[in-house]
Amino acid sequence: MNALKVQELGCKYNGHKPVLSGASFFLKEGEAVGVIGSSGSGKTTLAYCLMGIIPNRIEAEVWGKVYFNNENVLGKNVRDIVRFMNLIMQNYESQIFGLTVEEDIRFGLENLGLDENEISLRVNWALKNFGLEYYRNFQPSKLSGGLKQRLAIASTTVMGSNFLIMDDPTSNLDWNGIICLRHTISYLKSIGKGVLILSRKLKGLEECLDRIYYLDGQMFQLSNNHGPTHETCVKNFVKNNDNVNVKENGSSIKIEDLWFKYEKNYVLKNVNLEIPCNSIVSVMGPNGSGKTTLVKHFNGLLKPSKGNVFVDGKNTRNYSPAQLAKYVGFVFQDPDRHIVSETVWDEVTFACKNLGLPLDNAKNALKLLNLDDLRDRPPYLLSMGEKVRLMIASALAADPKILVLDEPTTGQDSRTLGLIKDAIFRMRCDGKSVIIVTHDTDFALKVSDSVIIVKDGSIVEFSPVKNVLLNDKKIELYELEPPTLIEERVN
Amino acid sequence: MKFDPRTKIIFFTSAFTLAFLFTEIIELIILASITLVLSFFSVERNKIFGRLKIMAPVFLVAFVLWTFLNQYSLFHVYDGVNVMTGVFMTLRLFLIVVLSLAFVSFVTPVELVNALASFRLPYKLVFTLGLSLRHISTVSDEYIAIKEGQTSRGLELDKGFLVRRIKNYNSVVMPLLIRSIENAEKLVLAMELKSFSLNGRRRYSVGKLNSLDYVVIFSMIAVVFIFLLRNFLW
Repeated sequence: MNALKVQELGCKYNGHKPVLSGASFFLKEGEAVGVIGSSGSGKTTLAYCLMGIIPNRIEAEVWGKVYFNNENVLGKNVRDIVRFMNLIMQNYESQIFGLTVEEDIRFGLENLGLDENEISLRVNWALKNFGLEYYRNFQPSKLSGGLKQRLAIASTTVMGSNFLIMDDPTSNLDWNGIICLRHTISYLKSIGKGVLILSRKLKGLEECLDRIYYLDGQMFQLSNNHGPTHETCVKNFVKNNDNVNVKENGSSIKIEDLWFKYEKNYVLKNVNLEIPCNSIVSVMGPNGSGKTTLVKHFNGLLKPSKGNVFVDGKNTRNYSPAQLAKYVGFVFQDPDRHIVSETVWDEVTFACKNLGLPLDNAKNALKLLNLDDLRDRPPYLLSMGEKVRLMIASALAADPKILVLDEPTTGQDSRTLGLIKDAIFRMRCDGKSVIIVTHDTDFALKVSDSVIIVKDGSIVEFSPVKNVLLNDKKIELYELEPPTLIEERVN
Repeated sequence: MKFDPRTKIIFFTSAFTLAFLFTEIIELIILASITLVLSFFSVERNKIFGRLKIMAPVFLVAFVLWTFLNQYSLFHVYDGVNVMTGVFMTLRLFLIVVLSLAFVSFVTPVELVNALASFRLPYKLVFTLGLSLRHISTVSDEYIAIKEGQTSRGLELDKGFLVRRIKNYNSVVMPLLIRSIENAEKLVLAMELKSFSLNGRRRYSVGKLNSLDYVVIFSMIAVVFIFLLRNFLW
């Protein structure tokens, strides 16, 4: 049986302190190992070192040993390493090349120079075993996020590597997606593949993991799959905001008979909703249910196909997103795609300059998000947690009455989550509303007053947060991630 | 009835050529009618007819220009208006637009790449075209994401006169360029993970042509040939 053995692996980027030091673990074929760590803890660096991307494509100093069948492969070329080990990147969409699903699976096999019979056999095997047969002739861009990820796994697996590394595979998945991923990992184990999963959060994957390691620059084993699999275990379920006096005066957002479609079919169907002022509301539901489409109506990025949306009494049909920016701050998912300025200060003052607001707003926002020391730094040098805080700061700089956060917890460590939570509570103290789109049940429980459940384009529930997220039946019915340590909360 | 991608490409290439070879209004009307009838059966017919509606002012401007102004030059001034020239040139423009919309609607990127490869175009060209087509949606998503991010923070893109608008769009286009370069780097890495090299040739598959495909291909080539002879020899 082949095995991968990593000994005292370390990595240091030029002129910086080591990102990784003394990382040691082993992985056999037919096993799955989880490595848990916060953003910036060195997970991607570990993956790149194992794959030879560091030091061959990205310059850095590496030391230690990576044994594959007693041969030290550290520092070998990517092309040599992909023969026995491959990587599914955090941004797996960039690994999809084919114009159809089938073509994408063929791509790697043709590059290996296999004959047509072997290629056809492997393609059919992958389509069947990864549940992609139906999508054989689909264009990858038409697939859901979960299916794209499955395609990336399938097209990498067919290349015949003994080991697969998955870098943060759960970050964009809903609970159902995580369960599907668990099944995929179990299947990979059953066919003799060794799987290494690097993630901030392994919740939902515990069953299929043989060992879990904790990574924070250094690495140590937690225990045989009984360790804390969620970095921010919710130990105290008493909400920090329970003592806050909530005064609800009128509605900040009112939706009347909203229908919306991008092309043929309606994505939002007859939505009626009134979000009170001075409230914190979480919007939850499975992937593709219409959550982001719904909140994009709040700042006029999308206009209703039918019906009306009123924000602070204004019909969004009559206002552009730029005009509504004074009223609604919007923090998008995936900061890498939305941060565009050269420095932190340029980014955070962007809205103030456009809207003619005092730059003091930007200073205050930076201070609130604990970013004032980084104002001259280029955003691309920030950690993921700092980037999310920067996006929130640049939305808050416009001093909006309503703040919309789309998946703010994705890939965040506990410290960043704490700062985001503080900013949210501060908004409410100032009499404003916050709307959070999230899959993270624990975060929603910690911060929200109420929760909106969106399913198939309709609002199926709008209730106090405890009534939904502490109700097992509703959690199952709405396909939500079960909260951690639910017993403690109930007591 | 499903046509082979090669048939579709030959049909549209011939039709585009004919649009420039036709010299009579009736010829343009016949070809435009055929294309419109075909477009009616497309799954994207609403999109096609919607876009034609948006283009209506352009057709109107073309008609006015060709009718009233085509005979004016810096050196000569001619008398009269030529309505027939206006109608002819507007119909030609209309035909080119309809054909373009129908082409995009009927020929998928996969079909285009497979068909071009079967015409024995250089491998590097076909592969690059396929990769570019695959990444159009990625660039388009990036553009939308940046635009949404900027407008949500008070940037009015379509405000002011030309220079101001160009400056506004600069806030979207520059980050898009940088993002595209970053994505290209990721793409190279991803290709290496898939053991890509230009020596390992990809196979582009096309099916067999049926009798109807042959009828369409030879008819279109024959029609183009006839009109070429008519215009240049007879």
